[in-house]
Amino acid sequence: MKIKSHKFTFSLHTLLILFLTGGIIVFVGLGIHLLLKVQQVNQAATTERFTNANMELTRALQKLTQNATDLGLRFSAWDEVQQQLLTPTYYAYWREQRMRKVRQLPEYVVDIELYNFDGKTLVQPHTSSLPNPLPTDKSYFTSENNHSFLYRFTPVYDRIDTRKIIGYTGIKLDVLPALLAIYHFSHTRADSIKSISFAESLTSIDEVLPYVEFEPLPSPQSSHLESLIKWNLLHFSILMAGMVLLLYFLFSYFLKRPLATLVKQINTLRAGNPSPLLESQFPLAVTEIDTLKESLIRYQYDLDKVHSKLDRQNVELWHLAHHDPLTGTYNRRAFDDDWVHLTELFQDQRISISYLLFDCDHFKAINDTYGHQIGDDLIKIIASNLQQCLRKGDKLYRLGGDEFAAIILNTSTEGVAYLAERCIKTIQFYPFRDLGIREPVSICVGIANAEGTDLNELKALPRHADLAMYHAKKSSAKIQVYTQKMGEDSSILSSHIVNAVLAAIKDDDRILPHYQEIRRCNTNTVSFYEALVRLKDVDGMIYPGDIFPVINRHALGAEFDHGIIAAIQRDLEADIIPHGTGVSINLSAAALIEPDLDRHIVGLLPYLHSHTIVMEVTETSIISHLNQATDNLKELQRLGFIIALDDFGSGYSSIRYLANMPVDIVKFDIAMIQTMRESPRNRKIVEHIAKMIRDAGYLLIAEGIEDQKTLELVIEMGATHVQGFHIDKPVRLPHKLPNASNQ
Amino acid sequence: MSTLPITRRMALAGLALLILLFSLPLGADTVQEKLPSGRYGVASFHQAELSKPAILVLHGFLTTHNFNTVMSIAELLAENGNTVLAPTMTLGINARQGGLSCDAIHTHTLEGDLEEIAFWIDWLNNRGHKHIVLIGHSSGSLELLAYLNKNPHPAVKKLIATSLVYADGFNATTLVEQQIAAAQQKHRQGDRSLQSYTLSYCRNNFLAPPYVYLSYTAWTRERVLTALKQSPVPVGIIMGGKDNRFQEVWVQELQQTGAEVLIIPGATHFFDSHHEFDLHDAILSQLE
Repeated sequence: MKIKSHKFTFSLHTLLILFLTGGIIVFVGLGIHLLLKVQQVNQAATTERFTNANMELTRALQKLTQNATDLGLRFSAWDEVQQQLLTPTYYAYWREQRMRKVRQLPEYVVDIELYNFDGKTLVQPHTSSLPNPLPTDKSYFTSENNHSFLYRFTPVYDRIDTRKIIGYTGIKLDVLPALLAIYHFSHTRADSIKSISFAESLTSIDEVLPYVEFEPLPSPQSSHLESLIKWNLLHFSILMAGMVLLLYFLFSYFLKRPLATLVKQINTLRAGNPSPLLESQFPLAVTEIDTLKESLIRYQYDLDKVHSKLDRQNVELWHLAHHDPLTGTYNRRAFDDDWVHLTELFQDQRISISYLLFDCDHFKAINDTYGHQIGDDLIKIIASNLQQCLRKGDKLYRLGGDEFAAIILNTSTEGVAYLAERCIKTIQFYPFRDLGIREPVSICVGIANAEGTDLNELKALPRHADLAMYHAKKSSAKIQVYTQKMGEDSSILSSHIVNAVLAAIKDDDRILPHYQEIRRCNTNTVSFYEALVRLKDVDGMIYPGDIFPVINRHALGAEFDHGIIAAIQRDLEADIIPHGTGVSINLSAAALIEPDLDRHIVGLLPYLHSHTIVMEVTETSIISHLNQATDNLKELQRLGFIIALDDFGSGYSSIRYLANMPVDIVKFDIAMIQTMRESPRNRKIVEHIAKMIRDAGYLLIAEGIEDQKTLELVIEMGATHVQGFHIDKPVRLPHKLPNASNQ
Repeated sequence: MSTLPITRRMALAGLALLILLFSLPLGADTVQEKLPSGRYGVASFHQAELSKPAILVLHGFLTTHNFNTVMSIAELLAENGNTVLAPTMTLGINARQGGLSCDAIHTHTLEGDLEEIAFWIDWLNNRGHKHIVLIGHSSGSLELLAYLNKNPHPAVKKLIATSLVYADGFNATTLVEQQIAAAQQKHRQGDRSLQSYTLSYCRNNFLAPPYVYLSYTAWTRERVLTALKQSPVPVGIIMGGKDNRFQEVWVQELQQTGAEVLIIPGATHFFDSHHEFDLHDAILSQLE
């Protein structure tokens, strides 16, 4: 049985690894996706924080600018500024010493300068870092040594005449410290604020802003979220790794290991080695696996029972296949098997082999006369007696019908002859009358011996035994041992005849039907011709006497009949058979009982309207398979064929069969004609039989008419048709009879 | 000397603060006048009836008329119905608005201050006030005494000197003497460079040229006592009982000058806390 299985299969371990790997990949993928999402959120948050920081820095610079303005105003309003502007005697000291000590201005104001109302510093040369004279812009940014400074210049008004400018103050603020001092950064990392050098003085914040580097403060929420996610991912990864290992362990321990044990058990079973599953001990904590194990045990138990049953059935089947059901002896198959084995044995060892072929004389006649049951009983008795006559261990084979064989190893020819003689005598003296058989029952034995290692000699043993049997049948001695002379004289089973028959079956052109006239007695005209077979051979013609023993021996009746029918059809097509006459064809028993007989005679149907076509069958061919034969004969009658019963009176002819069979013509066998001459009583019987047949509506053909006296006798008997060499000899071309006699 | 419980003192101090805050606007104006020095002087002025003495209240060393003690006195007197003028000495700064720190550059002199005092007394007199009482606090008392010693205006009828000091009264005599000697030498040499001196509460950080320092330190203990004795008008002196800037002998010496010396027990140099009321009572008492 071919089991449809998946193209790709995976082991449990591989599947587990795949599933776990898949799970890990999904987890890692999700983790990466999550991290990417977090990074995106962080990126957005960073952008927002950068924007916020930028805005914050703008606000801080605005505040710084305002702060510088306030500081300038406050500084300008200071009494000591008024003092210095009005009495600058000690201005240098005041600016250098006093201003360093006094905390009038914040520390991020790194330098100051006072200008008189003309915009000149109070002392010359001025030593401060502020410009001299007073610049046009009252407020601007500069960059010095990577430091940004904000300059703020504020007018100082007279305290009485408040519209009168008496001088100016200038303050210089270090931008970064100032920013850190006046502004609390909540979006910008204070220590990240750095200035980039720029060449010119810048007056607006928008101009300054690009030259300030800064970093936004990290978002505690997003940083916390990211770290939280990473932390959780790490822990989940560790947890998952642990889970994977745990799953792998649990799976291996609770599933894979038991399943592997079960699979191993099953494989052991498959290998035909039943193993003690019940004794297998492993932890089956999984219900399904436990159930599977129980099922497997039950299955194994059932399988064992089935195996036992199958073994018994195999033994029985082998017995049936190798034994003949009727006799209980070994059959043809057993013979073939043993023969093969023997052939192999013969090649290796020097052994002597004797092949004994047994055949019951006239079994067919007995079977036909007393019926199948008696025939079967007869066969069983013969088999039983033959087995008893053989030695213990000698096998008896029924090759078919009434034919038996025995192979005797390492026994002298005398011993074998003794065995054969014992068999013949046993059968001869058996009380077959108990079966109702009145005629004596005997058997013939053909023996062939082989000794040595010549395989060809071994293979020829059956044929040699056949020839010996053939000679035994023909002679009075019931036992014949094959001799080389038998092989040389044999024509009946010569290989070239067999070859010719087989060739004719293959190529029906080799069959040359000859036609013998069957004449009407009342009009002395040709009614039809009986087709008599001839085979064309390189050495000439082969006649039925040589042909039919081969056909019978090799059971080629049906195939040969098909060739004859084809050859006759060809002759009908060639118009060899004259119109208004007909042809009779002998059908063997094998052909008669073919279920598809009509298929082989369909080519004859077109000629039924122009020719009488007669199918001749023998009584025994009908009786052997009465039902099938009767059905086929009826079908032939329905199609228009005429049915003739041939050889009536040659065997155990039964009136009962004749009455029941669909027959139109009865052909008296020559033996019936000869019987008439033996005694007046016999003549009366035959004449009455003939009359009975004729009165029953049958046509009666007397065949075997070889002289005028016999012709007159059968006409007187009441034959409607006659046939024989006295009437006509078989010829190939009947309508060219005068010219064809030379052919 | 009587003492008050701390809780009561605190309550009185709070009340005084409230009175100060809500009474300032009462008729007090800020006047600015061009002084003889060319600079503008600033003063708080409350105009009242001419029948009552006009009071000139002068602040102490390097402060302004906004100094607490001065302001409270001015307010007290304004409420009392007196015309009150509380000028701020310019100390060389035009319309000076705040106190001057010790380590600022000081180019002002006591003589300059006396000129400004004389200007403001004239200013009051020019407004019809013929009865003028001078009230000074700390160095302000000293400068008013110096003014009286020089050439006082006839309208000045009395001096009430609170926490009266002399130039070196705050510090060790030896140190001041040494610095004065050094300053005198530099001054003689024409040196006008800035030096750090010890003067009043300025300890070695009074930044001034020698002549400035010398102008203030000229009013020594003896000179003050002498001036008190020679004062053309009555002098009332109000001193804090716990003014630690002087030794007790100073009060005794003051009492010996003939001046009416009133000691407010427990009061400090600034008459802070509830002693301010005692001061007020004392001043009002002096004015009667």
